[in-house]
Amino acid sequence: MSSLVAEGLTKEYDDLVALAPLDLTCRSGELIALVGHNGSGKSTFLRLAAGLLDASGGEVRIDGMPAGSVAARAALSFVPDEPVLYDDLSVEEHVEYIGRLHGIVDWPTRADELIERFDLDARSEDLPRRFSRGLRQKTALVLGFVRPFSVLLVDEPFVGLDPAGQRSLTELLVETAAGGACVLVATHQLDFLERADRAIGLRDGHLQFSGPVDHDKVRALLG
Amino acid sequence: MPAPAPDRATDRAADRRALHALKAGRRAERLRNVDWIDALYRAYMVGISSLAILLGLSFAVADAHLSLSNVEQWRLHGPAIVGLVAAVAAAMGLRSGSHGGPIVFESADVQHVLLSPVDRGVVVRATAVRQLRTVVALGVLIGSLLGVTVADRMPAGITRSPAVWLLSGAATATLIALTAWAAALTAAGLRMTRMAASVVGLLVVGWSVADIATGHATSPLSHVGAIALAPIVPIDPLGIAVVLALLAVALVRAGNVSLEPAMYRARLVQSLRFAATFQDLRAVITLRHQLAHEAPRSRPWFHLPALRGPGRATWRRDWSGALRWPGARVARIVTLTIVTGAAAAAAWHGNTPFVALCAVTTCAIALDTTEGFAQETDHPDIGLGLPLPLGPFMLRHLATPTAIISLCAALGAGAAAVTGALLGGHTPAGGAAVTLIVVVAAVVTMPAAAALSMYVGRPDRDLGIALRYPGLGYALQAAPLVLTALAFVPIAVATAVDPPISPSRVAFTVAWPAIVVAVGVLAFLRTRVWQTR
Repeated sequence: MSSLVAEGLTKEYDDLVALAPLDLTCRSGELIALVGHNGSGKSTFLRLAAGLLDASGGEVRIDGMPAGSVAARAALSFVPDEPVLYDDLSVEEHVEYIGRLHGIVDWPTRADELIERFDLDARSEDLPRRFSRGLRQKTALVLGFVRPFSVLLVDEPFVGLDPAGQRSLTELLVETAAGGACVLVATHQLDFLERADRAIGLRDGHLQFSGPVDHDKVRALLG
Repeated sequence: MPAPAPDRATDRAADRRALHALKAGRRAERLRNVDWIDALYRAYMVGISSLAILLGLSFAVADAHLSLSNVEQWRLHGPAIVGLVAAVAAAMGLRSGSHGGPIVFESADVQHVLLSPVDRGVVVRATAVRQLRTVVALGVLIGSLLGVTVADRMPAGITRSPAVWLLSGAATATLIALTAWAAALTAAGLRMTRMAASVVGLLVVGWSVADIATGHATSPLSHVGAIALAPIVPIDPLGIAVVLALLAVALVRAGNVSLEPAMYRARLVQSLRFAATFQDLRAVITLRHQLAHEAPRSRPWFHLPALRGPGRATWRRDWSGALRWPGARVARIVTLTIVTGAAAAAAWHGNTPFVALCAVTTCAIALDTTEGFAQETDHPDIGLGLPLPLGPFMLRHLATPTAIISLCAALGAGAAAVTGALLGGHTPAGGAAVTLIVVVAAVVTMPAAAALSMYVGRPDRDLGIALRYPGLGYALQAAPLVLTALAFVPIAVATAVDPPISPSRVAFTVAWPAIVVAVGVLAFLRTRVWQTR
């Protein structure tokens, strides 16, 4: 089943083409690496799919629903490159809030699992506003995973994570895709490509390739 | 690779020349980019608004003259009372200095100038002197106005020359402003800790309080206070000498300020100026709190009882945030509530201008209590990613502030009752009914005013276009204040009617449109702004 479908998806800022017309299909159970140099359009594509940006042309659908619609938002979890967290809530309170908003009955159990997995046990009662970049990233990842989704979009999740955190995250992403979700990860982390089912390459807003991971193509794209 | 810098002795003259050249270049560049028409128009608008406010204030203040016994009381205690104002200003200055104030550097100046091998004293004093000019100008302006106001209240037999009182007022206000500023810079230069600054500040204030209690002016700041009453009390130069000495110490030690708070303040003030440019009141207030190191508590006052299952997400979220309010915020809200109640009581006793004070304080309370709503506005990506219609979701964030405002309203009503009892005298009938009407109106209008203020501060495209028209822009900026004022207009109207017209009936007639307007504002925001998706 196609979880994410982009047809002629375009984003322009005045005379700057951030994303040229893009046609793409991502399926359930796929773990996809979205690669490209800085400014290639990775974040733009993810934010369009999440409904945070308005497309200049074309459309993107999540489980058949237009991106940004209520149904699409229920199906899609987006973890941005810069962690977005409240100033006045602890990690636990963040998780409780998101869990309740998404109507999760057993959110405490899920929260405990994720907090432990990302090694935030000792900091769960602290305010993320005081955290380092890496801890804020881990908190944002917990929030991204605690809620239900069929499509997971993650933008540069490995930045700021220590090696243990990177390994933990990679395993979690693999498990999530194996569990049936469509997982799309924008990353420069070549190690992650070893585990990905597919790679999509962008350059200057244009699709360069989309298919099984080819390390030579990726290296040629990233330089 | 550049050659390593040779050992250089500090050459203050060379450092000053280099800094002067840098400033001159930047000033020339700024002048090249100034839109003079826009600048003149803004100056015109500020001037007109200031004149209107001053004229309004001068008409609003009661025109009663002091009696000779009042003047005698002011002779006895006045210097110490004014000295207490100076002491409080000094204490606040010390606290500000312990946070890195009063000097504000640009981030680039901290990074490139203060980290370069120039004498930091030269750099800091140059910035300090520029700031000093503004401090003195403000002191002269405010003191002159107060002096002229006082002159007009003097009874027969006491000098009423506006010029004499103007000079006294200007001199005193300038000295008080200098005291606060110099105290701040001294604390920063001495790298005083917050605790030390607080202790010293308390001692200074305590000294002035002792002077009031004993009737003897022993504190140097009481001697400063005497200058305000120069036409009726003898003065000596001790106060002036102490302030100037403090100023000298501040400027001498200025180069020793710490860079860590300077960097922090530079970032915040940069953001604050940006927010002020876009008249984003919420951002200005948030950044002011951060400048004062007012941050959410790391541990809540107490934990909410655990609740299994989904639901009540925004209610619990907002209470979780409220339970992390720092003590300073709680104290501020309580103080503003009491002031509101007292002002409302004063208005009920015929001092109608206090209604304006009620509008200002309740607007401030509303902005302080809508933190969860404000957080959602500050971090829109979170709300936009939820599988919920945005309008009802944002509206739910006003439930907790409404509950807290209701508690404040009860406290305010109590403060009004106490103030009314203290003021005594004759008041219209139906005070309790009018209080209830005003409380209900305030509880409805205050959350709406806060929501509107945040919307105006973060305008969408259409509102952004409207805000470009200065007249309309200022009107929209004032709309939240007008909304909170509407809740207290019933007091002014009810005090103006005579029997057999019922004050409470008149108050209700005036109050319910205010409630309708507030509900209309929320409906507009829910349907037009936080569009259902």
